[in-house]
Amino acid sequence: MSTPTDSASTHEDRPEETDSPGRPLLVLLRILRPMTVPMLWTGLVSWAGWLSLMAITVMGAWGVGHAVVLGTLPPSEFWWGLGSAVAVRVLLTWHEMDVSHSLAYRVLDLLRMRLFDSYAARVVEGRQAHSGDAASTALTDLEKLEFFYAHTIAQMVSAVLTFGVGAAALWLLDPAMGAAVLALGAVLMASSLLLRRRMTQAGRQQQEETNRLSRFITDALGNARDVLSFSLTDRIIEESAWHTARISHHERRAALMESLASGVRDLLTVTALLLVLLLGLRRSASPESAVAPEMMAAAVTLAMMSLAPLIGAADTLGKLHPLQASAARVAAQLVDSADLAAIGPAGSGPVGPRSVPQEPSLDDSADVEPTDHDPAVASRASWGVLVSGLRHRHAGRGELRYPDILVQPGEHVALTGPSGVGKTTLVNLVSGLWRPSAGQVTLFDAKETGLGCSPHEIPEEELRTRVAVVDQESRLFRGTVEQNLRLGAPEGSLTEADLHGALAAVGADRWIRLDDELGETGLRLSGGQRARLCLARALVRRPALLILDEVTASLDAETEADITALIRSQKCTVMTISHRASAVATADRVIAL
Amino acid sequence: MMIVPELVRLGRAHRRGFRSVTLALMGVSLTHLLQALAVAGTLAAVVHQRPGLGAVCLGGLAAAAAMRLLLRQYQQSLVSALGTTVRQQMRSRVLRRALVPDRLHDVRSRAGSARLTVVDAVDGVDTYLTRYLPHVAQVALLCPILVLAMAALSPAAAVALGAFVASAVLAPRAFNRWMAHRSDQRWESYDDLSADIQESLQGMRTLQLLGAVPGRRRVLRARSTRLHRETVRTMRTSLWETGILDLMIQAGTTTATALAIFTAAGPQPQGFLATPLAAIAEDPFRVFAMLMLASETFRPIRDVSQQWHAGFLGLSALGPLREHGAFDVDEIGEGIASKAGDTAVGPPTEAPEVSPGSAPGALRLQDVHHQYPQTVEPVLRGIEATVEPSRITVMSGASGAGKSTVFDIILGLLTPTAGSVTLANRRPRPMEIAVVSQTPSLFSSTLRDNLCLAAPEDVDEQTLLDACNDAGLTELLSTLPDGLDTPIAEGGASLSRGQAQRVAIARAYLADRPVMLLDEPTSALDEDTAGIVLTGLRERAVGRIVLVISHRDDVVQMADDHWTLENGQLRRHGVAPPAAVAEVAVARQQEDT
Repeated sequence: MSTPTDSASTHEDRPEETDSPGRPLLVLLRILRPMTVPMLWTGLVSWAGWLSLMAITVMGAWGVGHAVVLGTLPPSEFWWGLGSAVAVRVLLTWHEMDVSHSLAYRVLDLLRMRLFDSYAARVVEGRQAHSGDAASTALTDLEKLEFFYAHTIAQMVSAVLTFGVGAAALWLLDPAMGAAVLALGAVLMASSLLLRRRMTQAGRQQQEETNRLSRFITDALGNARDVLSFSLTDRIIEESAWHTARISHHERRAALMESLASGVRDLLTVTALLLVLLLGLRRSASPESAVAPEMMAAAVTLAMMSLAPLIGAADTLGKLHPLQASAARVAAQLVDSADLAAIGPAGSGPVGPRSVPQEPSLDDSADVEPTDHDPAVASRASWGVLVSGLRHRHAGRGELRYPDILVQPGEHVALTGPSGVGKTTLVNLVSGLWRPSAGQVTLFDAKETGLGCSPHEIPEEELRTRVAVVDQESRLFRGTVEQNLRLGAPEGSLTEADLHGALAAVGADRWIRLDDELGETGLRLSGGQRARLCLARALVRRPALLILDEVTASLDAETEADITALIRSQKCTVMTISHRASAVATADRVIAL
Repeated sequence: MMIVPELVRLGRAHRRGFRSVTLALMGVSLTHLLQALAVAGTLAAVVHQRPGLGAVCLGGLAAAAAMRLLLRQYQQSLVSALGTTVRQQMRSRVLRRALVPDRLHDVRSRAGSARLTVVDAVDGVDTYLTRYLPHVAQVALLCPILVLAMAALSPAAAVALGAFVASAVLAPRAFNRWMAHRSDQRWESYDDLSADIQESLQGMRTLQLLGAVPGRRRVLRARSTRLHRETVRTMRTSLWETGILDLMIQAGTTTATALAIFTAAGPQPQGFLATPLAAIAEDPFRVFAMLMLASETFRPIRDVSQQWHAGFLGLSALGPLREHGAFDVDEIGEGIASKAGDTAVGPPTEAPEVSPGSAPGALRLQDVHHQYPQTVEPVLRGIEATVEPSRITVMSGASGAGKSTVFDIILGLLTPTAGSVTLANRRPRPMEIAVVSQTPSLFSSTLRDNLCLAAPEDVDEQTLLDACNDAGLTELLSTLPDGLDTPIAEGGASLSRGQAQRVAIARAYLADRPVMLLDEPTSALDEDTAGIVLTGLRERAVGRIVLVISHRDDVVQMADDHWTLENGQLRRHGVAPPAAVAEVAVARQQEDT
């Protein structure tokens, strides 16, 4: 199995390395196309907010200018206008914050589910991401992007429009001032590209370090038993402090560059201020060619108010550079899964990966309701297995080849072989979790011998209810015993009696009840107890094919004998993989790999 | 304003860092003030038609801007330094609280939730403390000064301004409690979602095989939607605050502007609008300065609302951190050893350096009783056993009989209801015990890192290879392309179960500790490999206390002492005399080589 980094690099257009760092965010925007209308609305509201703010400040300055220079009080319309501008501004600010954040969190909600789908597809492909990494993308990275969704688009729209209005008004007042502000506005926007590459890089490094920390913490907490047993807590804390320092180092670089860039923008604004004031002072030289003194305060304010939204927009654009990495990761995951869904894995038929909605869409149509196909009606007959010319290639681990195997329906066979021969991979291939790189797995019914079909041609729901796998990676989930037993079973297909029966069959009724809470991974239970519950979960579905991989390894001799007898009594086809003579002895036939 | 008492206290604990961050921030604000006064001066110069004065003011303007650029860089680096310290401290506290034995048996503990707290919540605290809180402090410190400055220009305007500033700061406080409640709810949703996502990702293979992915997706979808709802609800509450704040800012500025207009052109220029500073009473500078100062007075408040997101993060992070005890400073000594207090006892004087690898005496269990909370029957009822060094002691018993409980008690992960565990007549120290857990737990790092997890820092390559050899890993190492530097996937997923088990054994050897506890070390090994591992164990047992849990015949056969755990008590089987043991060991060694 490849590491997450490997899997990322195998994907050709790894977004971090593309020449235009703006791309990942653009990719995300494409995904968000259905959100266009709310985004534009947010932009317009924000624009109106800026315009009302501009009105308030420019009117105020105009009033002060007239009062100082000419000694006149403004007319009553002025006061009404000022008052209503204040009211409008306050309402618009509130509304803008409300719609933009609500939009942002709605988008996050949708992207989160898309990411989940993409991870589900990955297991099928056998290149699973580290759960700490994946969770960090699905939660932390997305939360960071909140900023992007909430502000960027709306801010760009409103900044440009506000600037347009302000610059035009200033042009009317004095073309020279208008020109100066226009020029500086252009430079300001260009300044958002300042230090772009280095900020993107710092952001990426920071994010990589954060993921490293996330992985490390996940591992440390996941292995808490060993950490405590070896009393490694101090080491763990030391290492997490080291990771934190690394993150901070990159974060600091990004923050300093960001602050430098916005400092430069600040200087540009001051330059604009200087220019406008200088142009005002020029009146001393040639009074007729310049703005009247009473209008100077209004002119200065107008210039500032035109540039202010641009500064905000440029700051936001600048802040996006460090976010590129987060966006890239999210985009990579999503694009990846879209590719998979569209094309399907190379060289393996037209069907897309399982459990992934074929057309992931932003609305909820991805939650496919159970189809009218009712697996309970399907025959309870056992399924045979035919393996022919099967090979599987692992990234970096060479190719596994399997002998041809025929297992008749209802037959109990044992598969043995030394460690590393690829027994677990065989389980993955026969159960249809992975696709072989060559050769064929055929599952067939007693009646239609010789026909049959590969696991991928069987409808997902039927395949999963008819083929049960219990191996050492089988997990229990947080929730009650009953919830665990019902996991994945079609609604209403299992009665309470079925569940009780299954518990009793594996001898679990002596130590647990259906409504007992298990905790994550069933942490309340011993290894042998977990194995027995996983077996109960498989048996209660009355599978047509039962695949068992070292299920009895952690059981004592007596319990093992009981469990072996239980398995022996099953009518379905059973493939047992084991090293243990006792498990092998009860099989109809032993196949050596 | 989102003021969180716990975080304010935390800020107080980092008084010096926090103070310098705030002071630097105020420095930045003062350059804004300087700039505003320079603009007022220039405007006055325009009215007076005095280009010379105008030029001086413009020089001041430029100087203020340049100074600001430098101050902001400085402030940013202070923020980073403080942030690093705070994060390291909080992470250490949370990890110390999360890595406790109680959590191993707590059905409520969730890996994803802990990860979220250690990574995201701590980052949230950092943002709050280094960005939001200094801005709040600035409002408290700077706004009164600015209002006083306004009093010098116009006492009437100062009174009006003061009233608006006070309402802007105080009015939103009414929302605080409501907000805190909402934000706790929100975090719960976020936390649930995070834990569910992580659990699903870790168990994705099982979910796939059960066909439970669509069902799980529906659950997550519901959670995600709930999170969206809670977030938006929390946010709305907080946006009311922002709305009020904005109203006060706009109304305050406008009122001050109106007063400035009346000062300049009102009917009673020298009435209640008079200034105590006679020198500028007639100067247009005074009026322009009033205009500028009004806007500057609200700058700190505007800054606070711009930091809204930072505040929101801090508020969100509070619940989980509180839950993980990150604020209970008194109970957690910052540098105290990590193990549960009752096992990690023995003052240093009593504990001279243990020579690594050789046991100082026998391990004795005396009348050990244990009963898990919320269970009907005790697991252990008076365990009596002595485990001698240089002998291999095997414990077997039915699954669920309490064998792992015995291990946990020896390790100090569980405190027995009664009885004692001693090593050479004292309590065993955590650094004296090495473990091989039933479920091998590996970190997603290199093979070498996993092997050296508990090894002394200066372990050399030969020792490493020897341990691998004794654990039967030599063959695996030769097939790995990168040897010891091969990366391992999460939870050891890139290794077979048997391989992972042997890595765990080699790790225990490398820890080089006098007591070794092995829980089913050969359950996933074929007979040949198990033979190699047991031979290695025999060699490593010299001078050490070795206690193995196993059901397997080959392990039981090579035992020097064999105990069975039944009905909560240990029963001893036949004993091989020490001499015979040595002979057998030598004979086996010769056989193998």
